[in-house]
Amino acid sequence: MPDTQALVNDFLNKLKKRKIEGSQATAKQTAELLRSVISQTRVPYTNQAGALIDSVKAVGERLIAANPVELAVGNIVRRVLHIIREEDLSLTNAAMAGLNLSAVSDDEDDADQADHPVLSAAAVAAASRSTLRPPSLQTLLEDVPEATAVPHTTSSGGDSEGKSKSADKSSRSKKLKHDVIEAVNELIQDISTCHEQIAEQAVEHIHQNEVILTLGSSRTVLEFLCAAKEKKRSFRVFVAEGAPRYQGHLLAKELVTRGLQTTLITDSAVFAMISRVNMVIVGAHAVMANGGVIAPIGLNMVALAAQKHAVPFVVLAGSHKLCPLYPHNPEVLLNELRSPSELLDFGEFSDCLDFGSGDGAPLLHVVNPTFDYVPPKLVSLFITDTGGHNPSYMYRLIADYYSADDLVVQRRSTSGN
Amino acid sequence: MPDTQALVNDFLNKLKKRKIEGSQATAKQTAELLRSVISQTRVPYTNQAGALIDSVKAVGERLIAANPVAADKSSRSKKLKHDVIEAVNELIQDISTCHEQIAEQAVEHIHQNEVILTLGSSRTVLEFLCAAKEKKRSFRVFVAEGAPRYQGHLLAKELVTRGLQTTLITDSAVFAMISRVNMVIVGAHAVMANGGVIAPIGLNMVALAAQKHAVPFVVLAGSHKLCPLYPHNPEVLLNELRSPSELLDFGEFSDCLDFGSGDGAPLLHVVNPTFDYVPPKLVSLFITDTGGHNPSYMYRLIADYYSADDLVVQRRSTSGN
Repeated sequence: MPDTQALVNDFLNKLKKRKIEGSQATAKQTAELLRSVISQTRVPYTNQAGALIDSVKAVGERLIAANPVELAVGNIVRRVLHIIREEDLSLTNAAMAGLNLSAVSDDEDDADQADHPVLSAAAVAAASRSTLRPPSLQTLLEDVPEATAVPHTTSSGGDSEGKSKSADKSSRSKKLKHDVIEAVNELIQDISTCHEQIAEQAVEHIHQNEVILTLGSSRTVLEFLCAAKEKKRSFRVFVAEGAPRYQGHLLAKELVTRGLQTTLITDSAVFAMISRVNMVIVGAHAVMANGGVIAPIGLNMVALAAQKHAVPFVVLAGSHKLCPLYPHNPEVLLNELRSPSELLDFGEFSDCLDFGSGDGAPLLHVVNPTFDYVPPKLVSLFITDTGGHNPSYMYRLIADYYSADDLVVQRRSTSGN
Repeated sequence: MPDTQALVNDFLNKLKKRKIEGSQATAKQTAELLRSVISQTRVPYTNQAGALIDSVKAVGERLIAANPVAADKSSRSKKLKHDVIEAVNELIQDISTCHEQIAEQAVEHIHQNEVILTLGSSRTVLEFLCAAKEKKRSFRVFVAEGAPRYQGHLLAKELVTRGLQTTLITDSAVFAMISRVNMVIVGAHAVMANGGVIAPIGLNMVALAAQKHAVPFVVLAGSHKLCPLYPHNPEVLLNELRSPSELLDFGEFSDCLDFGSGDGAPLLHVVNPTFDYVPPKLVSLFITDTGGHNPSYMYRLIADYYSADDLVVQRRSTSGN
């Protein structure tokens, strides 16, 4: 698969060099890459899902290792794995439902038994066990598949079992890859439209004559505020500049062009202004399973100030940012240190930062972390594309999006999973 | 001293029958009465201050017994009767002008586009808000009606005539609205030495709501309301229960409230307390005629206004003290 390998290497390069900015772009490109990998994977007749999972895990492992702090990559890899498992299960259910009908009709005509695939009771029981899925929001209200209420039909002979399994699989051989690719396309679509779905909820949260505070620049927050503006809510925005990158300046400019009354303040002025603020709305880099937020630097301070003044702290996050790992997980790198050049000019400070002077250790250290961890007790509400949720509820969304087997994305040495 | 005795008895009568409304009127009349007492007291050549103190204490004891909830006292002692009377005149003047002195500070505290919350009706608060309005600050006021007397209605009407944007709400709506409020400004009945406030009923709830939403709770109190006693002092009756008729009509509820029915004890009890105690940790700032103070600072003002010997106002059997 030369094309895919080249694509994978190219993407790995971009991730390592931090050339891709933003979780949404990263998530989208990851999903598109995995879609190519899936379409190029040659699947055997038996255990198709296993083969697909293996190839995705192989690529996914390398992607996650390239940029471990970009959690969206791991999220998308796990989403795709979950999709593969889900599609596999739904095809099994459909196949069994179809087979049961044919099995019932076969009872009347023994002569045709050999021609029609019939499942033994053991195979039926095994398949029905595998269709039991962990309860999640979306499956709780679905109909229990007819397979579990199957009447026990027995057949004679083991070879009909083998024939039935292979016929079973071949009937869905073409469908699995096709369904998976369709589901991945839906996933890419969801990632692209997450901003609109979140912005639709803006009117419920932003009321007339309110004062909103935000820090730095987030595209989700920008679209959220503009959606409320279009619905004729008049409100004011305080933007904290978000040192050292000062992306708050860009957001302030953008808001002004859209006609919103904006005030630009320094990060240190947040506590002084927060008593006049009605709500804090911020974006996130990633949302952990416990409801904690990996957010741009400076937001933990804003969350503390908001708690002190009883101001709601609202986090906007697309579902591709929801990570099934907990912050204490050793795989999760909570932070990344960037270059000191964002704070200091090398020219002026080269003597202070020089490793060659004195004992060989510079007297001046510059620490430039990228992210902050905001604990769940400081967050009032998460607004995702599926709606508004409590921080203590986020772990439930994980069951909808991820499978428990995929938390560690490592290819096992055995061929099956 | 027949004139003075008649005045004292008349004032005692009014106090017992709760005919005098408001701390300021009470304080002023008390000060005027004590001024008369002082001017009528015959002072010996030696220990003039002792004689004055004795006579003031004699009258003061009776006044306090008549209305212990009105814990206003003023007793200063100077060497000469003349100086004392002058000082008492100053005191009366201070009491009369406390509203203006407090209102002068309004501009420092109320800023543009703010939302103020108050409960019931207090003349100090009214003058405070109007002073800020005259200095061209534009702000809005939420008035909680202050059941069961609903004096908030009167305050709201008064504010509207002076041109302020006002919103009238029930007491129960305070917690719902407090997230949009920038400051709570209320009057007090009395301020205790620890910084605690005896305030009209309902204000403890407002103070709790304000604390929850980090809204400053500002209490306006003239210096005559500052009491040198602590709330745990047995002399201080923190509250007074008024008639149930303010809540219920006797006609409709006479069967429920009847002591003659059943076991002789009515099934329905009506409690109508007049005051609330607001602990000092819920108060952000006291604005008195001398300026703004922390609740933990109020005990220092006591040293300026009161002597330690006078905390218990009882005449001793010996001639001197």
